[in-house]
Amino acid sequence: MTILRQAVRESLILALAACVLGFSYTAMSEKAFFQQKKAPGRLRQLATLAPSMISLEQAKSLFDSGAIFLDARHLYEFKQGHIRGAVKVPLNEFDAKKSDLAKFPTEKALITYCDGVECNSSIALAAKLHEAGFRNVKIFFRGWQDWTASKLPTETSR
Amino acid sequence: MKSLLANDYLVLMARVFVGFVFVFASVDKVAQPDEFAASIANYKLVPDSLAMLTATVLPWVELLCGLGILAGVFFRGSSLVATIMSIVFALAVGSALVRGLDIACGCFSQDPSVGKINWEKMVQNILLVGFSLYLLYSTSDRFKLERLIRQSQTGNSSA
Repeated sequence: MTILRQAVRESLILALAACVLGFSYTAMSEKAFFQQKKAPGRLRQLATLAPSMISLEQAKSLFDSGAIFLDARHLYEFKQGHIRGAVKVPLNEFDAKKSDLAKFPTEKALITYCDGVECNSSIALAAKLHEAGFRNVKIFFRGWQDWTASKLPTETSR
Repeated sequence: MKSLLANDYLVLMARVFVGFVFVFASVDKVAQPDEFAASIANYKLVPDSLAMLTATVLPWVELLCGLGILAGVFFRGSSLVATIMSIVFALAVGSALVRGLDIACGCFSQDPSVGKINWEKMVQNILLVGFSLYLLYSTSDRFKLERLIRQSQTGNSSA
């Protein structure tokens, strides 16, 4: 019993020390909560490598004109629901299934998307497509979250 | 069982193992709290703001814990926290696997191409729970800084 009591007392001190260290470090290095609001460097760097980003409205009009939407999320999420007619190209399987891409015309608009602003796989997928020679790739960065929020056409597959 | 808990060298071995695991696991996360927050958010267990808070504090808990176990200061507390953390990690990985999430572990490196979650990770965490619990109830005081400090204090008071 005394062991546990001592352990709990010590772990509270430990947790407190970790809080102080964690918050001082992130404040000094301007990370996490203290992040500057400008676009993160990594994102900016990826964006210059990758094709341009499009808004929800642009995505909508491209959807209406029959552009191909590519879902970069994991298969599990794709099955739960995706933009109607979207093709699943999970980022983690991209390299293994590169040959499947041959079916897409290189000049036709390809629009990548993932969950939303919290994920980068739409950007990464677009960069990979760009590298693979596709020249009309666009990133619908606000992705699935905004698409469903605007009640645009979706479908599920089991 | 008693002799196992009191075995100086077994305890030392367990300390080195658990201590180094936690120190190694913390380094990348301490340096990259934002990436770690993203890793936590991927598990879809906590809201994003809580993931950020966890990513700010948890790496330092791991680091202090690992150092405490290695050096033998705040030993009981460090062992208790190590036990709780390992249990939570095992549960998080397990629940993500059950839900079929295909995500990076975020256990050691924050590079998503290193280490997807799998059942092996869960077994590793359960092993860690076992070792941490053993340390929590171990009775060997040898090779601990705490003992040196205690000795020097009693030495002074008797002098």
